[in-house]
Amino acid sequence: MRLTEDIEKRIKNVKIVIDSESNKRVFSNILQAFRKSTAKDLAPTDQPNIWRMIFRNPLTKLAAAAVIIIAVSFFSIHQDQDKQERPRIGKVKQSPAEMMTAMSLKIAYRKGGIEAVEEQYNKAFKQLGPRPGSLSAKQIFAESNGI
Amino acid sequence: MLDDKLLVWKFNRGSINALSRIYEKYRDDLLRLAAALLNDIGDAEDIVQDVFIGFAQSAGRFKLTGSLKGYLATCVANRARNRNIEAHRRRTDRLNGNGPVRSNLEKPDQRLMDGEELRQLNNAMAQLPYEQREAITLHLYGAMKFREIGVLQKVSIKTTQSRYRCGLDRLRSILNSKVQK
Repeated sequence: MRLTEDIEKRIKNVKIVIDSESNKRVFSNILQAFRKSTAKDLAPTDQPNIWRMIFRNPLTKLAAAAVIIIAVSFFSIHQDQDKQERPRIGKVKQSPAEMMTAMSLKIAYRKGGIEAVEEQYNKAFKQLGPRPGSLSAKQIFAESNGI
Repeated sequence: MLDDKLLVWKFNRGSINALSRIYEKYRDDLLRLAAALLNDIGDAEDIVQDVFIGFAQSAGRFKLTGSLKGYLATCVANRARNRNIEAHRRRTDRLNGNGPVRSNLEKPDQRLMDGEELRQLNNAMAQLPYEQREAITLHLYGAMKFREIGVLQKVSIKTTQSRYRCGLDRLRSILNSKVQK
């Protein structure tokens, strides 16, 4: 074991003397190749391709995918919320009289057919609340006109 | 290892200082490795220069997966192997054509000054089978693990370890016999 270590040490520690002039010459050749390569790679006309940079590394690839998924899900959730909120606001603003106009009934029919018209009727009557049976025609008209 | 990663990161961004530090850090070991594999100081220097030029040309897109020293040592070993095959072919051609056989141990334009110790060791190394020489030098100068050397030599880790041990034993006996003489 000791002998093996001795010979290993001897091989490792063998001295090499380098002529400084030739060393400089060799390094200048290497430097020339390096400058040529970097001048080509980092040319000012070359725009850095952000997608290439992202797809070069698996970690950045994963991060980019996560960002895209989060952005898409956030956008879709926001869209759903808008869809849910918009009709509610419209309904609140509309008075029973407005709901029962020919125009609004026509719009409801276009949107959801006869079922939508029926729903609009029900909602309009719900807003008016339960009516006593002894209401005069004058009172009904007055209420349905929102006065 | 972390230092190498940082150097490679700077090197990829065009830092000359990083390239210079990498060159200074690994030049000696790579030269010793190439010299031991080729038994020719001039060829060794050429190969190391070629490896560093290839490395410098990869600036901006070099991706370090293992150790930098291991990568450079593998490049040197591959080039040394190719050069040995080429030299062997040329020698065979010359022998077939009855041409003059010239020793390549010392070249007149030798730029690297090799000491007596290095010459002695390389001469002893030259007597080992190439696979054993490669296993020893890649492990000691390239700091490569036996598993990595096995991958390079396309053999199992056990075979690499046995090549290493046998090579060292043989090298010791060669060097000892020279001392006794």
